[in-house]
Amino acid sequence: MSGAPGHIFIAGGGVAGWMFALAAARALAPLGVQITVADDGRPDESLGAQTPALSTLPGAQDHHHGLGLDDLDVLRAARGSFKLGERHTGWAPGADTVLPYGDTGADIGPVRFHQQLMRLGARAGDMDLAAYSLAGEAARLGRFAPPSPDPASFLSTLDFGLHLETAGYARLLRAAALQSGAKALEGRVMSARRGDDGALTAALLEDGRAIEADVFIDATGERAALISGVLGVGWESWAAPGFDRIASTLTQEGAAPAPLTHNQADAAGWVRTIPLYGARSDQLVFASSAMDDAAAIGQLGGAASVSAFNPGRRTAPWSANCLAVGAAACRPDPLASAEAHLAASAALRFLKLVPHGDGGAVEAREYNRVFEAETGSVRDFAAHAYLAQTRKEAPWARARTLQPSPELARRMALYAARGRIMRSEDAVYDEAMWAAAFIARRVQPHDHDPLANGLDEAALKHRCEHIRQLAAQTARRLPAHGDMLAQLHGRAP
Amino acid sequence: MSAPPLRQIVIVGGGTAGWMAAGALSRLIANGVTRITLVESEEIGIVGVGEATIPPIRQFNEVLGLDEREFLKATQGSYKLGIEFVDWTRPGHRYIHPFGPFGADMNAVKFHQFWLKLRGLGRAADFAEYNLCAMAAYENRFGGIAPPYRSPLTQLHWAYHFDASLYARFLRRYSEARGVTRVEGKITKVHQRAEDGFIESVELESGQKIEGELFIDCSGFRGLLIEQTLQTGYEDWTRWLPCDRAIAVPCAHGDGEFTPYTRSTAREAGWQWRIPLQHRIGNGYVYSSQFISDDEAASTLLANLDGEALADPRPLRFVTGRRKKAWVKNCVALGLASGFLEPLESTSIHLIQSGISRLLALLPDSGFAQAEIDEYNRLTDQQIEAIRDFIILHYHANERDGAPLWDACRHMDIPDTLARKLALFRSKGRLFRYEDELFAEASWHAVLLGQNVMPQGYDPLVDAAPVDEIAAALEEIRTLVRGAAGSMPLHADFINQHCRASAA
Repeated sequence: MSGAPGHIFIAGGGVAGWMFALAAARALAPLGVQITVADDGRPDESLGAQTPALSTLPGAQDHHHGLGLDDLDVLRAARGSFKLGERHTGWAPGADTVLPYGDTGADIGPVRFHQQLMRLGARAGDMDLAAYSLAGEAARLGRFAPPSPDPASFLSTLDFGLHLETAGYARLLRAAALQSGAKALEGRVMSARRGDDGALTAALLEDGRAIEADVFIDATGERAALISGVLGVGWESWAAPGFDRIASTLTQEGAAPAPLTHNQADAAGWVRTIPLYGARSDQLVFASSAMDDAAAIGQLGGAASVSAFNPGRRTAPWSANCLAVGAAACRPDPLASAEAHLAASAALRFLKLVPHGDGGAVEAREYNRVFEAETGSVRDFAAHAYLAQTRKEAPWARARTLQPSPELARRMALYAARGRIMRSEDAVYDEAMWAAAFIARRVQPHDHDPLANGLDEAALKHRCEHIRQLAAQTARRLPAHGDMLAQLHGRAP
Repeated sequence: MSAPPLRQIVIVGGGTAGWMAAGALSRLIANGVTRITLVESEEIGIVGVGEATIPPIRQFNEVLGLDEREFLKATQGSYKLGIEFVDWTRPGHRYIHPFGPFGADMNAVKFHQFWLKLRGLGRAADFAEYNLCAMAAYENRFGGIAPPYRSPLTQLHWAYHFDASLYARFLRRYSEARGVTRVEGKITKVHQRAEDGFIESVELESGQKIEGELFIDCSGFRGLLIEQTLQTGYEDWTRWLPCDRAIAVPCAHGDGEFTPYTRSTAREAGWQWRIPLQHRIGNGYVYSSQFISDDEAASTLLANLDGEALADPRPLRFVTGRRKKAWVKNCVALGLASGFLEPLESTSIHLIQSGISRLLALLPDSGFAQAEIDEYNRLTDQQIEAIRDFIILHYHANERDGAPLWDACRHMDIPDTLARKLALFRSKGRLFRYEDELFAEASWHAVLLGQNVMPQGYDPLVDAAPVDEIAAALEEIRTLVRGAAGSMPLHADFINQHCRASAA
């Protein structure tokens, strides 16, 4: 009666393919569903070209837990380090801000913390939100400790993401998936055969083999061999005008990694540095109008490589019996820190909607609806950085001509009026992260929340100052991030 | 840099909506500058909207700092664990939409999926037997659970039945103690600013003018400010929800039990509510004038009461739908002024409450920002549409063959949002919640399964667990729930002991 599909075929390994295989094998292999991954063994581009490392959002831990993985194993396998937030420099003249994870200050009834600071007269340019956050203060000092499960402890206010080397992460996911019952085959999927009803019947490999299955997962990255190559499903581009190239490199590094991802804007583009244990990844997103590939390679170092950069999303990632995951479905701007999140949520969403023999048109429509809401929030979070930056150079001025989505336009108007943020559907970023982003990006609202005026000014000042001191004092007592990692990895970098 | 805070908020109308707004605003906008005035006339009666509520009302009372038992004493209130729907699916059938979850999800698979599989095998009990509120309701119990049955699976969720006019009176005392000024009088004129149409003041019969910067229209159906003055327009939803009249009458408690739940009984041309309070039972027949005459409706109602009628039946007329915008210029409409949905799922008071909390989250100062007004209206639209769909489901998924109203509802075109939801559920019992939806998945499950919308299949992930294991887990939950429900005191005893009103 339930009729789960007999064979799920995953085209492409990498983080996207193997994460999907692991989730599917854990849930479906006990039902006798066969899960096969065709892995071509080439460098992992399943989450997008030039992605040697991942910098995740908080919540990756929950995904790992759901996949039966221990975070510490993940960190060990992927030269991992902890991430307490993101540092942004150069997006406005002289700006250097940290966007911390976890709680910042504390709301008072309906009055958000940033509204309290604005009530006390703080302006966007000088508001140091991170100083009221344990993650922010710890990051500044290069310290880290896992959050406390005790909600009464100030340590419970900390939250974190992970910095992971893509290749090591994929290896770990592959091993776990195989152990859960998924099968691997060597080969590169080039195309597929279709039946009379338009559905895929067999995947075609470079070496001529044809593999039949009921459901096909396209994890071939931007190549999108099935969803685009065979089914011709369209792509909606999100690129900021002119920012059309991406370069990257992974280099050895002796210094202890900072618990922060660093996004540094420069004349022709911006560099995202992800610190790993014993290594670092640098990604350079740039405008070809202002910098050629050779110059980009020169800036990052000789071993760098370059690709076209076209962030965006598939218009219908689940079409017929084919589901695109990873960059075949959505390539987020690296600024959104969303690659790993989207790969995990795709797998979990699919498992909530596993189709029967009937093709799953109803399920596909629901999947695509939620995908659209989720990726819309990822698009907007990154797009806002290009819109809010105030650099004078030509590529940056041109980037500001990016047309915001209606949802982002609404969000910006609402913040501009009185610094308000309302939650929205399937939001990947919560209200506090948006508040921190608006403040880091120096957006000055016209006014603050009138409810904040009901708070006693002297008492409020005292309270904020107390939180600031508590954050600073607690952060000083945490272990150094480098020491934590040395202990975790059990060896010097 | 800041526009000055509002100096004067004027609430027009003192029914449930008006005094709820006055209570919440006086508690939360304590900035020493903003004054709140409420204008009402004793000559204009109040439409006591639904006296039954849903659990978020508890948060509202908490924010106000009300003591639950004091509040129930003051309002002749009782506890509510859900709504029983009688004859909705087909004559002779009944089910309950209880608060709180059914069973517990296992391995990230929803509980009802396991139930669907076992039901197919003839190995599941009635869905309600896995829900604590449902089981307690059927036994007319409410109160503390005995220690051996306390577990995460036995968390009680509740709301209240109360006399809405007594609640308004209670909140009036509360608000006046917090500085709200009540002005008695009928409004005869509304003055608008010449340049932009913002409301400047309302003028009373006596000639007194009350000026304000923000006006909250709680004047009821007519929408004195939002419609009669600002001509906002109204969107009619009668094509989906055909009832347009109601007749209401209180009656004495009969010999029956003091039920801790609301009952809704389907009738030929609509449905009848039964809401038990301490001193009486509230009853009403919501009907479509297309399908029954007023006299016939009244006699049907009077023939179906627990005890003797305590007043003359009171007729009401309404058009189901919503005001095109709930916030226009400096006027926010709350309660019936903003729209009407029949009280089938006890959402009237909730809509007032959530309007107030949205207004507080987007409170303007003297410079009104259009972005905030737009956001308020967007969220309001989303919420009322989701509730509308939920109510339509009750009418649409019926098997009452041969009754003209019910046949029409079964065959009508339903909103796309609901059609998508039904298609997904019919396939394998799946639901995804939409943005800001008030009713949780458990509520949809209760009504869908209660009205016999049975999925063709179930989630294939269920098959990962052996059937006997699932059956054992379900049985364990059922036993625990039954034990917990049976260990509670009777609702009548609990009320008598803790919150009996001193006099009717």
